[in-house]
Amino acid sequence: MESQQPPRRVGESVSGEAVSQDTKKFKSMAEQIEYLEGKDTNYVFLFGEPAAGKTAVCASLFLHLSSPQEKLGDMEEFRYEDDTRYQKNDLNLLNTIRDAVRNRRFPARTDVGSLSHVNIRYRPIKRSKPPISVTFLEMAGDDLQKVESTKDSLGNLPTDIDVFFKADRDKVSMLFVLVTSHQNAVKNDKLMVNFLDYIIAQDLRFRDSRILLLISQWDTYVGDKDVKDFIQDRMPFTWSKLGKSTNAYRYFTLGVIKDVDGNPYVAKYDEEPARKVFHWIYHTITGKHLESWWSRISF
Amino acid sequence: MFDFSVIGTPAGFEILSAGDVEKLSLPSKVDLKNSAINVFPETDILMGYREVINDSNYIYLVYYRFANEIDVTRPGSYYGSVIVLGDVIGKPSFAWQALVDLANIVQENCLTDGRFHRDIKTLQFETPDSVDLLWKHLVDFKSVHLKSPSELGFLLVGDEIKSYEHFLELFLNDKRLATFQTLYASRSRRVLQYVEERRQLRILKISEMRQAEDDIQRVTTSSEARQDALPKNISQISDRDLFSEVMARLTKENGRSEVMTRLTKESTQLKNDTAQLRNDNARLKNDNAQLKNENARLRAKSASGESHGTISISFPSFTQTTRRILLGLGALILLLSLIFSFWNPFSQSNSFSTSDKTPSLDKKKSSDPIGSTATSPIKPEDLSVVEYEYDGKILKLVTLNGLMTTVLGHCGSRDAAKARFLASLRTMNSGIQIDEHDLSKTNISGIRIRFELPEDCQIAKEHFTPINSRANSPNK
Repeated sequence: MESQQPPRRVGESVSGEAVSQDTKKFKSMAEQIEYLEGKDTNYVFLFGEPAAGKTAVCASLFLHLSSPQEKLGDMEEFRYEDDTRYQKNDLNLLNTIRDAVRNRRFPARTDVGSLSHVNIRYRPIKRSKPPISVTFLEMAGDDLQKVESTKDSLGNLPTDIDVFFKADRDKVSMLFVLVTSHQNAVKNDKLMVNFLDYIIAQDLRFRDSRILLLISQWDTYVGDKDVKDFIQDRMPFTWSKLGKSTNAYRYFTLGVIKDVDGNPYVAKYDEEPARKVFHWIYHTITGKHLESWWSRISF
Repeated sequence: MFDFSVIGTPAGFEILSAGDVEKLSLPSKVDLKNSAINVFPETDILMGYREVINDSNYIYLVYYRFANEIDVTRPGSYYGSVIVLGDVIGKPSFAWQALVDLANIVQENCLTDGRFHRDIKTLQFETPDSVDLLWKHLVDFKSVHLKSPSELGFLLVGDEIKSYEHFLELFLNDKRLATFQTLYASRSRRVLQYVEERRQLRILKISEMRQAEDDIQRVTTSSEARQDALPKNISQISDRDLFSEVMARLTKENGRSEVMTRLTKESTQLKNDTAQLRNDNARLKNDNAQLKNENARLRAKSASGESHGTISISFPSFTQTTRRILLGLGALILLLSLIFSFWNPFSQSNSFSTSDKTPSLDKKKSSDPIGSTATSPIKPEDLSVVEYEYDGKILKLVTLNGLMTTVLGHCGSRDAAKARFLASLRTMNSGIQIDEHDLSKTNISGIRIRFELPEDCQIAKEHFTPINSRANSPNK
């Protein structure tokens, strides 16, 4: 037993880095990179602060893709053989968060240090449209916001998140979905820019990344601006970073949210935002639109 | 090492610790794993988590109470407290009080009506007296088990588990085997329902939690009870005491522990018993030699016909035949004695029973469990398997009439270990084979070591076939 007394005052220390345990499942980062590069999939990296709505976006996407309303194709859930090297509950997570929204509840917050690879395969009904494999990367905002530089330290990401930016860009297909609530948009402007600068610093080819910015909880927004004006006004630096035709932005909501027994309740689920998000993902990956030209709504 | 923290999710996870948060990567360890368990309004959860880092045992005790985040209302948000014990162990009642007092600090300073209004990182507080008390009563602790366990479990507080304090008592008492890496407990049936739906945690009863430790306790207890039942006919025990050697190595590798100490004592006792048996064997050898002399003298008398003169006079031709027969019988007896003296390499000098000093192969059969394998089928009651964990692997000690006869690893079930043991008996024509793992390097084939057996260790008879009837078994 150590001899020193426990400190009499607590509060001078600061919280440290959260290092995910997933990295330990690989012998080295090189092995982990090799694993990522060898996987035939398109990664969708969701970025945002805690409670921004990343899990809600995923949940809504999964619910939409597996609902009868999705007329354009079928979603298949699957697990890559070696996915157990990440979290064992990937499909469990998919079912859990999808069921939460299906049951009109909010999905629970994602715990620190977790990194889930949720794999889906989407097969359009029209044979002219190619099937795609997508891996949604679900992680805690607590870990992601470490990318923000502070007065004490330069921004950095936990190792097993950082590994995605060490992999060969030509071998790993990656899309980014940046999520912020409209309430914290101003605050998150710096966070988004920090993140984009960070990944470009890892590899200049990330300049050409395809990025979608989502303003979440739009159902509670009471202003009169449309989403474009909103972003230009509240997130000017991010807007300037995203100023390319390959990138996109839009609002996101689960629907009408009410308070029931002290808990948020999805009184009316809105599937449209999830549908739009997935169509953007599909189009970005394949270059083809899922919808016919007359039914398209531009971002 | 001792550390304590307060935690919560005012806007994502935050921790304020008295120690080095970074060193232990605390956030990812103590944040509530929502995919497996969740905290709801007016519910709380207690978690015990343990791991081994650089040969040190760390125990994390974490207490969660529900609280809404500053801006968001969603499941899985909470506040609470953490205590980290590194190679030390504390009194459960003190630990529980410390956890409650630390959590109350967050409640009083950061929450209003169950919702955060302030970040935890901005807190400053005096260490509660209960934390001091816990710290002062810590004692050093080194586990036998220096591998992180992996099992996860959940216990509902209220029925078998009377209180969180009781839960802590169970968790900390499980230290010697550390069967469960993570154990959760809650008083809430709503939490239990969530756990059942998620299916990631085993819903446990106390009996399951204690089973592994009970196995070890049974082993040591039955060892004490069986001291008097040590077979008296062990004839050859090597000077190298395997048991002591293994225990010494385990102790060296794993550090001091209660179990090791007890087992080492047992080993010493066995050494004493062995010495006593050697004396008995020497005495038996003398008796054996005397009997052989007596036998030779009788044969000589028989050959000279001194005691059969009348017969030889009356039936000279028959006497000649009888003499030949007697000579043949004598030679046969000598041959048989020779055969049986070499037949079992582990009991060659002790083919006589200890009770009447009369040459008797039947006595040998009943008293020598190893020798019996060649002359009669092994009885199911004779064979037992004890599982023992060493270096993260489950070893199975197959025992025959109380003697450890083999140590097997990677056997799967106890029945598999038993089957493999029987196969080795057949192929080696020997009752002893010690193989696999580090034990293979000890080169101690032929040594018999007494090992403790759980008295209630039963063999499923339906899965057992005596060796003689397994001769043509394809599963050999």
